[in-house]
Amino acid sequence: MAAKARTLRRLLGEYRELINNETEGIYAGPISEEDWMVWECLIAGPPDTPFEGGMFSATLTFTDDYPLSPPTLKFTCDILHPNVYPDGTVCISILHPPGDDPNMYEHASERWSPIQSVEKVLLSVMSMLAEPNDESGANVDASKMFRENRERYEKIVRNCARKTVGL
Amino acid sequence: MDVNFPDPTDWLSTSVPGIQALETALSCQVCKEFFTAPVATSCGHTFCSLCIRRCLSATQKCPTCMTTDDESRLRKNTLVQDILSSFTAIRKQMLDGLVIKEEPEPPITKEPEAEKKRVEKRSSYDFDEEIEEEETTNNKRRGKRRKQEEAPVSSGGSSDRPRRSTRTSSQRTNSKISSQTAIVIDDSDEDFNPNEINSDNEFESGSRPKRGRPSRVPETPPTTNLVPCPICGRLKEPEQIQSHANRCIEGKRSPSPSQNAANAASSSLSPLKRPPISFSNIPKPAATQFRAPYTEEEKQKLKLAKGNFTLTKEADIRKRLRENGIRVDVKGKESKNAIWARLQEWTNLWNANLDSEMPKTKQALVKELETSERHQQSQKPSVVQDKEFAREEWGKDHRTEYENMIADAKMRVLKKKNEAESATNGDKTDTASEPPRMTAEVNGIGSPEIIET
Ligand SMILES: [Zn+2]
Ligand SMILES: [Zn+2]
Ligand SMILES: [Zn+2]
Repeated sequence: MAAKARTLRRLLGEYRELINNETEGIYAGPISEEDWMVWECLIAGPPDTPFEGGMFSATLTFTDDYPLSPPTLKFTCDILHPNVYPDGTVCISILHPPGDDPNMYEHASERWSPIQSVEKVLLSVMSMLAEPNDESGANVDASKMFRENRERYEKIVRNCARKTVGL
Repeated sequence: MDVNFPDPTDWLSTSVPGIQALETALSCQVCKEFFTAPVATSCGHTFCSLCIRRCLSATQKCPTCMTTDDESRLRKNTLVQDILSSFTAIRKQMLDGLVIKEEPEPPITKEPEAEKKRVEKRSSYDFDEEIEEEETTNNKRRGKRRKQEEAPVSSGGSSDRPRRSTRTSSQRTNSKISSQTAIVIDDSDEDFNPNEINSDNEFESGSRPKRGRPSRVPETPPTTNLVPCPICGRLKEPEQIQSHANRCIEGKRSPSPSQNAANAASSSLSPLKRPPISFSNIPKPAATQFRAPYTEEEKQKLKLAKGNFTLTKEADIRKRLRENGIRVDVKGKESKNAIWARLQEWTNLWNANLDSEMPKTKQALVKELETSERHQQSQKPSVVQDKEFAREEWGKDHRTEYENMIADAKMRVLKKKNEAESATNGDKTDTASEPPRMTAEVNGIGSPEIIET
C-alpha cells in the first residue's frame, strides 16, 4: 500500500460514512485493514430485474491519486451483462474521467470526478444492472443476447443471481 | 493525519438530525472534510483552495459541474469561511446539548430519522418504493429505473450528502496556537489545514460520548523518519508503529444509536455488523509556525504560475525548487517528470497557503512537502509489520458479515420462491422459481462461453 495520506484519509472517511449511514443494497469495505486500496463490495440485484435476489461480489481498486482518478470495479462472481467485460471488469461512465469515456455520448456529469464516491459508484452499478446500455459493448455477446434473445439472457442472469447466494 | 474527525452522521443521533445537511454543506466535496481556505470557482462552486488547485492541475475542470476553469479565476469565499468558523466554534456544544442519551431509542425519534435518511439517500430502494406507491403498475418498473439512474449521477449540491471529517476550526484557535509549543507537523497529509490546530483538544473531551471511545494518553510527538499508521495514518516512530496500530485495530467502538435506527429502518438487508475501524482520541500535536494572513496585494504578487511542462527546461525546474529550499535529486538523479510533479505540488501548496486564514511560513510549507513525500515512500514497510495480526482479526469479522449478507439474500430468495409457488400452486411455471438448470453453463466470470453453451 503506497497510499498517499490524503487518499487514505478520504477512504477512511468514506468507509466510516458507509458504516454509519448505510445505503440499502450496497456494502463495501477494505478487504483487510492493512490495505485500504482494495475494497470488497456486495451489490444487491435490483428488484424487478432478473438480477433480483442476487448478491454480486466485486472488488474496487483505488489508485494512489484517488479521488482525482477513479477506482476500478471488477466483479468476482459469475455475471452476464452487456457492460461487464468477460473478466468481470465493469465498464460504466462514472468510472471514466471526462474525455476518457468509451461511450462518448454520455453526459459529462455521469463521469468520474473527485466529488463522486464509492457509494455513488455502487449505486450506478446497481442502475446499470437494472438497465444495461446495450450500445456499449464491453461484452458483445451479452449485448447481442440482451437485444435478440432477452428470454435466454434473463434466464442466465437469474441463474447467476441464484449462484451468488449459493442456490 | 488525525482520524478523530467529526462526521455529519454524528447529527443523526441527535434531536436535530437535519444539522447533518448543514454540516455537509460546509464540507468540501473533494476531500469530504470541512473546507480549508474555501475558494469559489467561476461557476460558483466552493472547494478547499488546495483541493481545487489539485483538481484543476489534473483536469482544468470544476469537479462538480465540469465547467472548464482556471486557477487564476479562483476567489476566496470569505462568507463560507465565516459560517464555517461560527459553526465549528459551537459544534461540540450543540452536539452535547442535542445528543439523545444512551437509553434505547424511543420509537418517536426513530421514524423521523429513518424518514430523513430515505429522503437524503434519494436513490435507495426505500425511497423509490415510496414514490412508486403512487404510480400505476404499468409505470412502476420504468419509474423505478429512471430514478435509480438519476440518483448516483447527480452531482454537487448540499443534498449530495458527502461525508467528511476533520477537526473543526475556529477563529478562537488563534489565541491557543501561540500558547502551544509543539512544532511538529504530524499531519501525514501535506494539506495545510489551519482547522486542525486545536480542535483535537475540543473533541478529546468527548464530543461524541455515544461512541464510547476510550480516552487515550497523548503520545510523544513524533520527530523524524516517521511512518504513518496504516489504520489512522497518524505518524509514529518506526519502533512504535506496530503497537500503535494494534491498539488502533483493537479500539473498536460500539454501534451508535444512529446505526441502530438505520438498521431498524432497513427492511430487506441485514444490518452490517462489521466492526468499525477505530477513530482514536489521541490529541494531535499542534501544527507549525504561522504567519499573518496575506493581503490581497501580497497574494497577487506572490502567487506562483503553473508553467508548462514542455516549455520549462529541466535545469529551470531544479533551480526553482532549490531557490525555495526544496531538495532535489533526493535519491540520485530524478527524472524531469518527478521534479516537475514536485514543483506542481509545491505551487499548489504555496498558492493554497496564500488563501489560508492562518498561513504557514514558507519553511513550514517546505517541510510539509518533504514530509508528505517521505510518507509515500515509507508506508509499505510499516504496514507489513502488522500484516498477520490485522489479517487474522479483520478477516474474521469481515468474513462473518459478508457471509451473513449473502445468507440473508439467500433466505429472501427462498422465501419469495415459496410464496410464488404457493400463490401459483404449480399452475404455471414461474420463471423466477425455475430450478437452476443452467448453473453448469455459467462457469466463467461473465464469459462469452456462457452464451454459446
Ligand atoms: Zn477539500
Ligand atoms: Zn462548478
Ligand atoms: Zn493509528
